[in-house]
Formats: sequence, structure tokens, C-alpha cells
Amino acid sequence: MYKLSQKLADIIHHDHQLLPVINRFGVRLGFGDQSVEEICAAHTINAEFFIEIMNTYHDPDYFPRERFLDFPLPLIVDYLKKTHHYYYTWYIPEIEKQLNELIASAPGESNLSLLTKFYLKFKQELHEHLQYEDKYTFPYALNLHNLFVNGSQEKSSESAPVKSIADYEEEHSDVDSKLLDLKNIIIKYLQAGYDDNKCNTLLTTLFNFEDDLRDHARIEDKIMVPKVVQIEKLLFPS
Amino acid sequence: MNTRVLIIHQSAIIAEGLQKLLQNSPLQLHDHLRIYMDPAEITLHPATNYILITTDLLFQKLYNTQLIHLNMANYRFIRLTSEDQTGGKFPVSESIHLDETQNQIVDKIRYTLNSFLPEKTSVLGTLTERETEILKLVALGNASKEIADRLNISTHTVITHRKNITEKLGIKSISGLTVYAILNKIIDTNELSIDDLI
Repeated sequence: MYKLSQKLADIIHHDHQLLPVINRFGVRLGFGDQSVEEICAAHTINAEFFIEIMNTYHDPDYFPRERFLDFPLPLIVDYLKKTHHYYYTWYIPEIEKQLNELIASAPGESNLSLLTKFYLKFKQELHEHLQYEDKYTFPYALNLHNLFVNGSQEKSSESAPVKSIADYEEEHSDVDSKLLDLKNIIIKYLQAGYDDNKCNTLLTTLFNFEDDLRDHARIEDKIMVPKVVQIEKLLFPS
Repeated sequence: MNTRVLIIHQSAIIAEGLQKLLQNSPLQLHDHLRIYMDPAEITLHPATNYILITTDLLFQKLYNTQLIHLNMANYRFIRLTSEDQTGGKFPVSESIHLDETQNQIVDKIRYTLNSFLPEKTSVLGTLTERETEILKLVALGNASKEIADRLNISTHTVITHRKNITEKLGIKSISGLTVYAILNKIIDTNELSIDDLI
């Protein structure tokens, strides 16, 4: 488990998959020998939150639920939003680019176009899910938080109620299983004269994306949704 | 599927000692090996295999909070014990005693790791005729109820078949199954437009 007193450079050497995570907090490379604590102070980042996010991302089995539930909702929503932004601007276009390169490496292989079709279906589903959250869920959660803390509600026109936890988890598992299907189709069933290295690159990206999505969904399902439900109960006891 | 080895023990000497011992072995566990002092810090994932090296008491604690019993097939319990102990509430894959050598312990972990790998049998991955028939209908966009009516079987039976198809192929979504059906020429794309199907 990583600690606040450790050098961020050492942590990145130990697990480079954390690079996009530190970026989401606005931390960029070139931080010398500074510790996590020092870097967080310089960027006015909540250091405790930062290190817990790093640790859960690094270790899929580590998930200190109680500690996360103590962090304020806006902090959690902000991190989730930044993660969405990262998916829109980097992961999704990158997967598409790599998929196109794979297809270009095997002209005339009609089976590969099936992959594109399946991918577009997956992308559409993912987009709808992310957009719903950006448009409704996150504003609703923040609004609820403000109402609870300040007793005031900012004018918001289109806040639809948050979906039930069960719906949420189901949507996450739909997206998750499509990604798994895509991987299995490539690994087990697709035989085509494509460039092996391009295919490996795409698969590696898909594996990484899957891990990222899983971590993201876990924070939404297990932290954000329960927190929202908790505030709803306090504000509107039925 | 990923396999993780978790050492769970309240004693730092035991947990870290065992961790060192396994890290310095040829097992190459790297990041898949973790130690925990408290089972409450752990979240187990459904799609991961786990080897849990711990005591009866801590295993019980983990079991109570994690609903391991939902899928025991993903778990192997290696019991850490200081005495000869048999029985107990949970099935034990192996026992590790405090006085065992590194080689003995490593062999036990290796054996347990291999127990997760499915053996290649001719049945796995091959669909029966009935399953192929159902897969075709699924790929063509039929719901379970429609398939049941068409084949004169119960919806429940169709659902069971679909579950088995998904398990055998490793594909869950309808569009994924359609891709499989096209790749394997179970449905003829000359007659149908792919765009309508996926």
C-alpha cells in the first residue's frame, strides 16, 4: 500500500498504470523527488483522497469503503467526471484508432468489419451511459449535496432522479460484458490475416480500459450511489 | 481469468515473512501477491480467482463479509496453522505449517494455482446441435419466448441453453453472439444484412 510520505516518482516506477490517475488530479510529470504529500499540497489536492484512489486503482482487492464514504460527495463526483473526460478524449478515440489500424493491416478481410460493427455498438452503449451520468446523475448528486450542506438549491432545470442501485450495477455489467465479449471474439474466434503487433496493441488497450472501467464503476456503485441514497433519506424522510 | 494470492494474517511477521518467501520463489507472482492484516480491507471480485492463505478464524470473517459461498469455485483456502488440524467448516485445499520449508510451501501454492486452470475437454467450446440451433435464433434477433414457441420447448429450457452457450463460448451479449454466429457461418450473411443483425 502506498503512503503519503513516499516519493511519487517511486510509486510510478512501481506501477506505471497509475499515470492516467495522477493526470486526472491535475498532476503532471517532472515532479522530481517530491513526496505525494508535498505534491498534493502544491496542487491543493486532498491528499488522503488522492492516496486512497491510487491504492484502490493499484490493488483491485483493496477498497476501504468506510474511508471513502467519509469523503465529501463533490470530491468523489469531481474525480468521476474527470475520469469520464479521460474516456471521451483519450480511451475511446485511441481504441478506435488502433482498431482502424488493425483493419487497415488486413485489406480484404471482411470478418474484421464485424469487429468494427460490434465495437460501435459497444461505444454507443458506453456513450449513452456516460452522458446520462454527466447530464443527470452528477448534477443531481451535487445539487442534493448543496441542499443538504447549505440548505439552498441552485436552480437546476433538468435533474432526473438517480437510477436505482440495481439499475446502475446492471448497466455497468452490460458495458463490462460487451468489452469482455470483444476481447474473447478477438482472442478465441477471429482468424484473419492481420498484423499481430497491431492486434496485441489493441488488446492491451482493451485490457487496460477494462481495468479502468471496473475501478470507476466500483466507485460509482459502492460510494457515490450509497452516499446519494443516504442524503436522500436524511433530506426527505418518508 | 486472473488469479490472486492473498495472505491474510494479523501478525506482520507471519504475513510479511510468507510474502518474502513467495516473492523469492520461482512462482513469479509479482503484483498478484498481496498481504492484508484485516479482512475488512478486502473486496473480492467475481471474475477473479483467489488463493486465500489465512487462518480459519480470518477466513470465517472474510466469508461473512464477502459472500464467498456464491461461487466457491473461484476460491482456494490454504490454511495457516501451527498444529495438526483437520476438519473445519470450510474445504481446505492445503495446509501450511509454521515449520515447513520454502520448497514445501511453494509446491503447495503451485499445485493450488494449477487447480484453477480448466482442462481442455472436447465438450468445452463445442456447442451441441440444439445449442447451435438456439444460437442461430438468438443471433437472428429472437427473444427467448419466441424461440421457445418455435421449438416447442419451455422458455426456461431456452434460458438454460442460452446460459450454457454463453458459458461455453465466453460471449454474453446478443451482438457478440451474432458476431460468433457469422464468423462460424451459423447464419448466412448473404441473405441478411449484417447491419440489421449487430
